Amino acid sequence: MVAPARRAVLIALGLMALTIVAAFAGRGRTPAPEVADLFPGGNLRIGIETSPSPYVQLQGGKPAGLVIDLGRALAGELELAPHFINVSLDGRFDTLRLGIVDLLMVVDARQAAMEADILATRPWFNAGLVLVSHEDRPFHTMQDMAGRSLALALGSAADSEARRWQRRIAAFETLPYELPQHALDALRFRVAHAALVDALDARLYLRQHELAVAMRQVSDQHVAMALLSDPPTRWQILDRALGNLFEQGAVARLLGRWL
Amino acid sequence: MMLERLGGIARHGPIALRLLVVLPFLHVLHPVEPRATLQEPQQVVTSLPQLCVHTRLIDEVLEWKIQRSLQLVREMGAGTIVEFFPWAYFETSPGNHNWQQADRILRHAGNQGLRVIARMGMVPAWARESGGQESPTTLNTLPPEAWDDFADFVATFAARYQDMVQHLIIWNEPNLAFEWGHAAVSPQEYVELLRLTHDAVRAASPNTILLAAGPAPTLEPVGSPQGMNDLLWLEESFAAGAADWIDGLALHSYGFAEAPEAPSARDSLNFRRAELQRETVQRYSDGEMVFFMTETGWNDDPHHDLAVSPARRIRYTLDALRFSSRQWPWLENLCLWALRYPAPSMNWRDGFTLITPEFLKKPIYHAVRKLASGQGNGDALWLPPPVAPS
Repeated sequence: MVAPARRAVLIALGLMALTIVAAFAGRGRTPAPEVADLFPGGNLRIGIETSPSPYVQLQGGKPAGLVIDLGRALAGELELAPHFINVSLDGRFDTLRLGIVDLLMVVDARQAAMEADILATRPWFNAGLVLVSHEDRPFHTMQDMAGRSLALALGSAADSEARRWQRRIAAFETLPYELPQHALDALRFRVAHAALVDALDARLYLRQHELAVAMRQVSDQHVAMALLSDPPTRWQILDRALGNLFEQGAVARLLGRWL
Repeated sequence: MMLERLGGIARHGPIALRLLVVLPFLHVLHPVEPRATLQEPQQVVTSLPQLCVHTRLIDEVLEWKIQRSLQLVREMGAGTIVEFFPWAYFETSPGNHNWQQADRILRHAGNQGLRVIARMGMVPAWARESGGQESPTTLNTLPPEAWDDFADFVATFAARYQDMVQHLIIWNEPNLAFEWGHAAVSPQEYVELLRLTHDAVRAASPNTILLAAGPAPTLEPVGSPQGMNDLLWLEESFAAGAADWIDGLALHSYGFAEAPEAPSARDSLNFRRAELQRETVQRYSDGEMVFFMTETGWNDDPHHDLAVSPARRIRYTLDALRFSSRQWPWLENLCLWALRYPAPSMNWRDGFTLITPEFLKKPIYHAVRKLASGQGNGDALWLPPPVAPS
């Protein structure tokens, strides 16, 4: 048996606890106040460039692709409405400075680092070079290539990287092709022991061909989003939202869908 | 024992004291940069007199890198460079000039026996604000109130370097909104800027050759906020009297995805669009106009829509140089964009360079150099696609 006074205190405490729980639960369903302040009208204006496929392509006159899906997911995470704006390649950082867009979707993180007033988010893809070899005969480092044959695209970044390797390790044969796809064909047909291509080419090729490979990243090209460094809270909010997408597995799912 | 220790400290005290004094200054010591002393004056030896390359030396901090870049231009067989000389760098406050970087570049270019075509543009902050506008500006925002200041700067540059620089390009790709700080483009206003610049330069350096900036090749529809079709731009600017204020035209004509021999058409962009640009201008000039293709080339970024493979870029570039030598005697120079950037762009623009920021010569550099030296490159630059084993 509980005394009436004590019962009243317990009820009051219970009501207070409910109020607190309700208040916190409600916060998860409405945009944080700072998001609303930073993105007036509830819009996230996303700068895209339709040229550099395969991140984004025009399908029936409308942009589609990895960047579009990722932009939508990011806006959804922040409970904002995504608006995609095509920006010119030459003036894209200016479109941030002039307030035409809130963020750019595809920027090399190192390029953003060279701009005093621009910040990159955490990278969402590494587009650097990968050494691709057969799973049953894997090659992991440049030293593994000594005495072997390496297929690559003539004049490409892989060609330059291979020239560097040739100065450092025992001789190996380079097989120059016109296209990275031909270099990967050379691997598939076992004309070459390995192929050196960038990660995008490798992923796109492997989507089209059944091939069990070992793939080792040999150089980095971190692809990130970019936005103005001021105000810093905007960067924090967007980067945190991107982090949430990583934690939820959404970024991996989108990469798997498009690349 | 203690006394002995104290005696030891006393004996070595002066040395320790000196070390203590020197220690704070050790952090300022660093390896000396390679010196960039001038060599014996050089001459360009080439079988391609039209060959020229656009450099990006103005942002190069270390003088030896400027010198090395220009050595590589000469060794490649190019006799001319195009270089950007930004107003914003040289006149940071009205009337106060710092020419150090231009002096460096031109000193080394002269030493290597290279002709320099100077491109003028980029607006200092004080001039951008002269219109009193409150909206944000970019480095390309040029309010009408600053036109005279720009003309004065160009004239001052022309006079200072009249023995080293004979050709000046006024602005860059003026048919793009980006090049005016995302403002609407106007051929008529550009012609007025040419007039003001012409008058100032003629008074300061009568022999300087003024070139109108090459419009960016583009098929922008009428009314586009991004810019204006290059042929329409030339039509309208020359109809507005551009020819009265210039001696020649800088052409920008990239190959995009087509071979250099591909015929030109008004609704497509390729290397031979330069022929249409020239024809448009010829209708308004007296035949005395000189033409320089100050930007051309192919991009080999693997993920850029308007690019070709690095291998095909080599093939097309060599073919373009041969084509131009045979078919375009009216063209003074064909300038490849670009030799090298001071730092990587980390995007598709890197697909235009001949040399990396680390001075690694790309295969295309070797191929152009071989052609300019009079040697062929052979037909088979790459292997045929592999075939599946039967």
